[in-house]
Amino acid sequence: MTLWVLRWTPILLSMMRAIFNRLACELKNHLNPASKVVLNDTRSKAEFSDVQRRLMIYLRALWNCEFVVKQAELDAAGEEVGKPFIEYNVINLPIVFFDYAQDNGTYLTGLEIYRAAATHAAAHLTFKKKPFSARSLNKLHIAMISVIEDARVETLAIRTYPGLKHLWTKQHTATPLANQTAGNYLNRLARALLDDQYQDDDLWIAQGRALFKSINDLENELISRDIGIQLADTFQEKKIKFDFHTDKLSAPYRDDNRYLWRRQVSPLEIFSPFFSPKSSVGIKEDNTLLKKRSSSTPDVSSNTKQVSATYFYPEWNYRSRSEDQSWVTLRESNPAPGNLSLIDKIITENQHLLTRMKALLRAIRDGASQRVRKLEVGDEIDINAAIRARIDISQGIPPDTRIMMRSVQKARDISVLMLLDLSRSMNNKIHNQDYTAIQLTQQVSVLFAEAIKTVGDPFAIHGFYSDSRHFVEYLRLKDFDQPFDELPKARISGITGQRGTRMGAAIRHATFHLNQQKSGKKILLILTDGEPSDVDVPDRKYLHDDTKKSVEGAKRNGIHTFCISLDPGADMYVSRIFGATNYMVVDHVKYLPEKVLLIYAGLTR
Amino acid sequence: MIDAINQYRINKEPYYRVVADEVAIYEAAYAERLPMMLKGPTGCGKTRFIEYMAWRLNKPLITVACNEDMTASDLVGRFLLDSNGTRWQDGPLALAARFGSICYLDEVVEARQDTTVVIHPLTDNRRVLPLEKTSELVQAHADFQLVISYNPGYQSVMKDLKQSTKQRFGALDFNYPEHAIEQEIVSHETGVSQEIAGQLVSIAKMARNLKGHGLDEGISTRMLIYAGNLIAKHVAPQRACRVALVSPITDDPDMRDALGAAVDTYFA
Repeated sequence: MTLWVLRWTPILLSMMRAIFNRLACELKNHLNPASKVVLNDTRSKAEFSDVQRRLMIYLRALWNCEFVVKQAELDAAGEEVGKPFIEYNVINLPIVFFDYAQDNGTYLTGLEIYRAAATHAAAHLTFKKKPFSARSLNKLHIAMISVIEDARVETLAIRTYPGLKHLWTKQHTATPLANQTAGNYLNRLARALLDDQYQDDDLWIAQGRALFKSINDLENELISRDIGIQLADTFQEKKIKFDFHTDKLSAPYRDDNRYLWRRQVSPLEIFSPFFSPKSSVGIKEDNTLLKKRSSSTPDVSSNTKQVSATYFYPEWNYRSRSEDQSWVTLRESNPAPGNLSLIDKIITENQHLLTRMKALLRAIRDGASQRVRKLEVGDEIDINAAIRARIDISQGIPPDTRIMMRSVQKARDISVLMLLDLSRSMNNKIHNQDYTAIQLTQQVSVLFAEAIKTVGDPFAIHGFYSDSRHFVEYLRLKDFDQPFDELPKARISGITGQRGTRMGAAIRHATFHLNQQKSGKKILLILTDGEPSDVDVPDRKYLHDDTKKSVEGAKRNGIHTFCISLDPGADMYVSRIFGATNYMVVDHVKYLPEKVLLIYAGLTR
Repeated sequence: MIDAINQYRINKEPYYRVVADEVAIYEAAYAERLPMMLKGPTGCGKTRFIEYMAWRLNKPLITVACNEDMTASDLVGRFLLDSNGTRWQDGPLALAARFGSICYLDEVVEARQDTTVVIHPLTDNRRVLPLEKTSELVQAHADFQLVISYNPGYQSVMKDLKQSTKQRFGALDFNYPEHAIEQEIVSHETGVSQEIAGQLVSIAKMARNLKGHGLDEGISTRMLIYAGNLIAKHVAPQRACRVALVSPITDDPDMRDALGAAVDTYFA
């Protein structure tokens, strides 16, 4: 008896320690009551907000795809979500992962868990495009198929990136000693399929390994289903009851595999899974944010000066080759504010683009110092000029006496007005993309405004639409002297596309606003998706020519006009109106930083 | 003076792995003395190519690394002061034009635009170089050819060649070679095994995915060769990659961390 106790006590103790450790880990990572408590915890940890950018860079480097990685929202009960999951092709990760020592003594850092979770989820998204059908399957089948599928996508990823194996195996701690529950066996199988070094003599595990090894074509997405069903059937010989709620995979990096079973997106979106934010992403999130924000939505009428003046502008008639005076009536009005959370979302989701734009703009700003040479009076001697002069003297030639130079910081003196086309056609989807021109306009204007904050140039955003020459509506979304805070953001988020595009009058009015600015350089950026058109003008050439005239008028006022066209097929008329070098096509927000740089560099040169 | 030009001859064959038809095209261009522009990202083999071609054609090669403080007289030449008064010293361009060599202006876009225009009369049918200071008109030697290199990266937005300069050149586009070829180059230049060279190339490919997404330029073939050199000197591959590939390319902590982790995924 004593011998028996001596022999089994250490094993029992180690099992109990394992259970306690597991419970502690679960408590830390799975049952976090509220984010504040979690984030105030002083144990070493990795927080999602600190690692998000790293993870996105990491995934982009490995897969050359734009994966969207975001923090998991609170679950239905208002609890933190402790396990990663994939929803709408977006990788959702918990708010924090704590560093901890595992049962087998290896130390795991929060960042390692994040990396493992992100790469595992990315492997799912890369190698599994269509969900399994759960028809005629029981819960055990589903669990088994999920384990095999996890192993399949991991094996495929390891083929290209062998180092991932180490990252993942490190987080599997199941041992043959764990043989009580179906969950124990699932975890042992998961480990056995991933880790060749792992010893497990159980016949069922060996069968799982053999079946998995026998797969010829791992790329076949359905193979996991066949093997999972076979294994689930043989598992029943063990007479261990499977409980869907408790028998789960314990490796902290594994997601909950809902991605494998739920059809989450329309078939169209499956083919372009990696670029983000469809409007469907996180509907719940939007609603909660909406609730939170509703009190802070600014009241436009109360805190801004009322703008509602009427202006009359001439229009160019190419047939009579003259301007019809006071032909167009333009009215400035207050735009209706929209939902602020939309703008915050744009900023958060495009943080990496924003960082790059800001860095580039700063580089242009700081790099604008110039050496002015050939000065009679300057700050320092231009040694080359001085030697040249000395040589000339030696040769008996009259020397150039301008031998001084000076470094000057080019003063930044630029005002930018971004004029948005808000006509009905902006509600259409952009060619070959799954977002509308209005959505892209919002992204472009918000990112531009945020980035320009860094350099502090005066910047305004206005918009327009028209309904015949008697009614051109001009919306001042953000004025030059107004900070880019909640009010302009809410206005941008509220823009919609309606009616026609009488661009000439709008450009003349924008010119009027830019003329009020005292800057040396003035830029008018026009964002549009199509050529000028209006209900009362059947002749397209009429509005083309008028717009061209208005651009020329702006130029006479010292304003550089650039057109950002959202329509890839727009080259012909856009280059006619604005000039061959004064327009660019932006059909995806990711091209924006370079384009912005082009505009700015072109003007500061 | 002939000695002065002979020192620019390349006596030993430089290693260059032909990728496409660039050698044949260049030979044809040289036969016509057509000015050439080599375009491509840094460290992809432009300079090595021109060295190889100079060796192959048995012509001297004068290389000038351009910078923004370079003046026209740095290219053409200047009077120097010495004990006897003044003395004219030919610049590299005048030397090449006088004695017939290939003149290679590396990263020409770095030079100021008023400097680059001095090459204009040499690059059209006139083939002359006026030396204003000495009132001399140097007729280019029959062997003379002008070659410039140009990296159309993001700095080209800030600094670009004038159209009037660009349109005087034929252009050969260079890029990082395909996987197998780049692997062969890295292995040849460093002596590491094909397997390690292949891993290095895969790592470079991964970093090239990040160009425009936080990196201004991807990891170049030259950097891979440095990493390979370290590995050949028995530095552990992961450490060598950090030293030669990750740390030099970026100062952004997030980017370094992500790249470092990505490098680790290649080594089991």
